[in-house]
Amino acid sequence: MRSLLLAPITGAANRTALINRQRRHLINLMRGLTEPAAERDNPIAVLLVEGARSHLQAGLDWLQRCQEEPA
Amino acid sequence: MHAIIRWIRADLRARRGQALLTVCVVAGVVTALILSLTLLAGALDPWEGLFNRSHGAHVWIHARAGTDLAPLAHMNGVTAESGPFRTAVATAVQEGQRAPLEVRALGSRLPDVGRPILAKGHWLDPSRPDGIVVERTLARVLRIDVGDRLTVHGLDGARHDLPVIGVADTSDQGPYPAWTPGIAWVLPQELTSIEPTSSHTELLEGLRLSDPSATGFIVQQVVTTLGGDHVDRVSAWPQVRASLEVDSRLLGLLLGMFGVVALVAAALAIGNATGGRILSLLQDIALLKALGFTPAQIRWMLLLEQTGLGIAGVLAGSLIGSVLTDSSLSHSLFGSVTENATAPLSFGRLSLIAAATVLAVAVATLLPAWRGSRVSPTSTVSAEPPGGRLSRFARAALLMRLPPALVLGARDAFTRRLRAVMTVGGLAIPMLMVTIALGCWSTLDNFENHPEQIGLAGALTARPVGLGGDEARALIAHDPGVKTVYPEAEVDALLPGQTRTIQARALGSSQAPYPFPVRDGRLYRAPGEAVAGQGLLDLLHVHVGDRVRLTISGVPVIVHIVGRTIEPTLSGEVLSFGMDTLEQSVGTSPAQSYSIVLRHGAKPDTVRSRLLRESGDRLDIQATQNPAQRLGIVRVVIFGLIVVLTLIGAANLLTATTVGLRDHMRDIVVLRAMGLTPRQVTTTLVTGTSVLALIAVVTGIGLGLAMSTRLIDLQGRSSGVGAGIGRAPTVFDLVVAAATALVLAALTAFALARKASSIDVRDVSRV
Amino acid sequence: MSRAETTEDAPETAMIRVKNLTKVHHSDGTDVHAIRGIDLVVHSGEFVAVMGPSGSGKSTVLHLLAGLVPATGGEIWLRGRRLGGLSEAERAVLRRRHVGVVFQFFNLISNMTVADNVELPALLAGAGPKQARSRREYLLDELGLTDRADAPPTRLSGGQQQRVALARALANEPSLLLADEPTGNLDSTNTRDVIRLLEKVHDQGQTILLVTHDVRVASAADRVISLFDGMIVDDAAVSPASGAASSIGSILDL
Repeated sequence: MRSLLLAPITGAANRTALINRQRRHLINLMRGLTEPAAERDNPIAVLLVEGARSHLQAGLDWLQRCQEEPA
Repeated sequence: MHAIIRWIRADLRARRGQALLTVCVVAGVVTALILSLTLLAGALDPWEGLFNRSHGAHVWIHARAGTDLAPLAHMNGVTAESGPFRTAVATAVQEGQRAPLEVRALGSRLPDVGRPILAKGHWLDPSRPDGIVVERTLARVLRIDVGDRLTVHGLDGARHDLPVIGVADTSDQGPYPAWTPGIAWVLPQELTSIEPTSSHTELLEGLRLSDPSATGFIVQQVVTTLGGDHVDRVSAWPQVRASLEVDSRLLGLLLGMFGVVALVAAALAIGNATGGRILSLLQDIALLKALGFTPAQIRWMLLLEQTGLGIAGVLAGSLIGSVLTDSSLSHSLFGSVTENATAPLSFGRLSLIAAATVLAVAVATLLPAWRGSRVSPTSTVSAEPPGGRLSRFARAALLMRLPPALVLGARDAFTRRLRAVMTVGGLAIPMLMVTIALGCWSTLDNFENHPEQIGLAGALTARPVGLGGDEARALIAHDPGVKTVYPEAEVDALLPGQTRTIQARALGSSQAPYPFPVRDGRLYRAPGEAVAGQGLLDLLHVHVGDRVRLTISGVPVIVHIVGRTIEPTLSGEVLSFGMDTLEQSVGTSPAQSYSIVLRHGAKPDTVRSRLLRESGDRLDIQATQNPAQRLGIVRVVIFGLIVVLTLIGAANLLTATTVGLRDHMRDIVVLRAMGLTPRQVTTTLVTGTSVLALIAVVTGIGLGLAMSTRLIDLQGRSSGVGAGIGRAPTVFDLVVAAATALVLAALTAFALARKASSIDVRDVSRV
Repeated sequence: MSRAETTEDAPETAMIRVKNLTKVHHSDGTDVHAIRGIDLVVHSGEFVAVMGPSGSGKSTVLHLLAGLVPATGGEIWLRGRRLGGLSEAERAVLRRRHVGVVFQFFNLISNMTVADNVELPALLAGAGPKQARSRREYLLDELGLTDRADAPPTRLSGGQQQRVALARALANEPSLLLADEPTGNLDSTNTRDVIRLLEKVHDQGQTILLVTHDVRVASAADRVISLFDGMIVDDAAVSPASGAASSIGSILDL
C-alpha cells in the first residue's frame, strides 16, 4: 500500500500496474473470506466478516480515488 | 400481441379515471354530432322525415266528384294508393282570422299510405262524431289546440262548431299559410253534414310510386287517363318539399361549423391528454425498449390504447345519440323547438360520424405516440428542474413578504414552459369557442328582444277584409297601443335581362319611412330611392349608391339604392322603397296590408284582440314571424356545444394538472424539508394552476370577443341577411363562464394537490 | 490469467466478442469519448464483473452490449451475430430473446403488478399466456416473492424490487444477463441475497456480465475487468487468496 504513495516517483505505467495488483489482491482476499459457508450461522463470525468486508471495500474505493488522481 | 395487450390492460387499470374521462369526452362529442346533424337534416330537409314516417304518397290528385279513380291503382309505376277520400271546401273562422279549409273525410283507421301523423290529442273516433283533427301549421296560425272549438263555415253558409280532438302533420302539402287551403280531417258523416251537396265535394287520391323521379311522367298519365276535365288539381312531392325548406345556408353553416369545431376540440383534448400521459410514461417506455419492444411496437401500443378508448366512446355516444334522436323521444324533446319532427339519421350517416371521430382520435394520438417511441432506452428520465434563478419579480415579491407559497406557485407556473403552454392552450381554446357560442346566443336574444334591429319593427300585419283602406288605417291608428301604421304593398319586379323576378316591397312613404335598420348608406328620403338587403345587392352585383332598372307591372322603373338594410326574409333578396315611389312609377295602387309598429310596452296579443274587436273581425291580423323562433334549434345546439366544450376543458385541465403534479413530486419533498406546511404546499400547486387558468380565460375570452361578432356578421353576410346582426355576449354570461372555468381549474388543482401532499416521502425519494 | 484473450477462439463459441469498440457522445457541441477502443471476449457461462471510476464508461459498455445504443466504431458479436448492421428494431428483437437487462433504478414498469412485470418478457418473446404464467410462478417461488405477485412495484422494498427485476431479466432464459450496479442502492442483507441469486444462476450455467463497485459482488465473479477513461486497464481472474495474510484477523489489523 505504501508503495502506491511513492508512485508519482516511480512513473504512471508502473502506477497502473501497482493499482491493478492491489485491486486483484483485495478482491481475492474477499473471495477467500466468503468461501467458507459455516460463518453464516455464527453471528459473531458474520460481524467479523462484515468488518473485513468494510476494510476491503474502503481499500478498493481508495484505489479508485488514486486512479482518478492525475499524475 | 399478448405483451402489448397486457401492457394496455395494466395501463388502463392504473389510470381508470383518465381513461373514463377520455371515453366520456368522445361519447359527448359523438352525441353532439349526432344531435346536430339530425337537427340539421331535419331543418334542411324536414320533408324527408315526415314523408317516410307518414309513408307518404308522391302524387296527390283532386278529382271531381264521381270520377272513377280505379284505373290509377293499376298504372305502371304505382305501388300503392291512398284513398280515395271525399273532400269539401269550407272556411274556418277563429278570433277574426279566416282560413280557407279543405276538409277531408277519413275513417277512424289511419290509411297505410299518406298517413297523417298525430302530434297531439287523438285521431278521429266514432265516439266523438263531430270531432275534427287539424293540421299542425294551420292550428298554429289559428292558434287553436286540442280541446278548443273550431268554427267552420260551410259553402252553404251553415256554421259548425267542432271540437278539436287532435293535431296532426301531413306530408301532402306545404305549411299553411304559404300553402292554402289548410287541411283538417273529419269522419265521413261529419263531412256530409258540412257539405251536404255531393257535387260540391271532390275526391282526393294519393299515389305512391316505385320511382319517385318519374313523378312528372305519372302526373301526365293521370291527367290523360282521367281526362283533363275531371282533374281539378294535381300536386307532387317536389313542390311540397321545396315549400318546407328553411333558409338552409345560415343554419347549415352554423351547425356544420359547430360539428367540426367539436371534433377538432375533442381531438386537441385527446392529443393533449395522450401527450401528457406519455410524458409521465417516458421512463416506462425506456424500460420497455430495454426489454425488447421495438419502436414500432411502442407506437402501436399507444395508438391502440387510445383508439380503443375512442371506439368505446364512439359506441357509447352512438347509442346515446340514437336513443335521443329516436322519433318519439326527440319529438318530445325537440318538437317544441323545431317546426317539424326530426328523423333519425340513417345507418350510413351514423357510421360516417363514428368513423370520422375514431379517425380524429387516432390522428390526435399519432404525434405523441411517435415522439414517445423515440425515447432512448438508456435514459433515466427525471423531471427537468425549473430554470434556475428567481426572477427579479419573484425576489421582490418575496421581499415584500408575500406568502412564499403563492410566490413559488406563481413562479412555478412559468418556469415549466411545456406545462404552462399545455394548461393555457387547453383551457383557452374551449374558452374561445364558448365565447363565440355565447355570442351566437346573444345574437338570437337580440333577434327576439329587439326585432326592429333586424327589420321586424312591425310586430303585427293587418289585412283588411271588407273594409276600406283609409277606414282600416284610421281604425288601426286610433288604437292606443299602436305607434305608427305603414301601408304596405308587395309587388314582383322583373330584373334586367328578364331572367327572374324579385320581391319589391313598398312600405310607408319616403317622407315617413318605415324604420329599416340601415347598416350602410342611409334610408330613402325621396321617391325613386330605395334600400336593399345584402342578398339583393349580391344578386344584382351592385353596391349602395348604384341605380337599378326594374320592370314593375310592365313599367320600367329606375331605382337609386341609397342604403343596405338587414333583411331576414327571402335570403335578403328584397328591395324596399316608399309607397309613393310605386305610385309615381306604376300608378296608384291600394295598400295590400298594413304594418303596425306598436308603442313601447304594448303587447302584440292585446293590441291584436282589441283591433279585432274594434273592426268587427273585418281585419285579418297576423303576428310577424321572428327568425329567432325558426332558429330555436340553434339554441339547443349551442347549449350542447357548451356542455361538450366544458367536458373538453375539464379533460385538458386534468391532463395539465396531472403532468404538473408529476413534476412536483420531488419538489414537494424538498419544499416540505424547507419547512413549508402541507397546506402551503397545496397552495403552491393551486396558485400555479390558477394563474395559468386566469391567463387562459382572459386570452380565450379576449380572442373570442374579437372573433365572435365578426364571425356572426360573416355568416349573416354570406346568407344574404346582411352583416350587422352580430352581438357580443353579455357581461353576465362572460363572467359566469370565466368564473366556472377558474373554479374548475382551482378545484382540479386542489383535489390533485391534496392527494399529492399526502404522498409518503419514502415513495418519492426512492425514485 | 493474462489480459487479452487469444484470437484462436472461433467467434461462434464466444458469447460476446468485441473488437476495437468506440463510443462517442455528442452533446452541447462537445464530443465525449465514452469508450476509446475495447477488445473483449466473454465465453458462455462466465461471470464477469466490470469495475472502474465514474466516467470510465462502464455503463456505456453494458448499453452497447445489450444493443440499447449503437456503437460509433468497432464491432460487437453477440452469439456470433454482428450487432453493427442491425436496426434499432432488430436489436430489440435480439435483445428480447437473448439478453436480460437489470438497471440500477427504474427496473419495473410502474403501472403493472409484479406478476405482469415478470410475465411481460415471455409474452413479448411469443410465449402464450399460460406458459408465461407458469414461468412467472416458478421464478417468484424461487425468489420467495410469490406473496407479492399482485403488488404494484411501489409497494416493494428496494431489495424486493431488484429481486423481481432479476426474475424478470431471467424470465426468457436469456443467453446473457447484463446488470448495471444491481446492488448499488441496497443494504448489506439485500446485497447478500442478490449475490446469492446471481451465484445460483451462474451455477446453472448463466453467462453474467455486471457493473459494480462492490467488492463482494466483484469477488463472486470469475473475472474482473477494470475500465479507466474508456479503456480496459486490467482483466484478471478471481481466485481465493490463501495464506496467513488472508485471514480475517490480518485484514482487520490492516
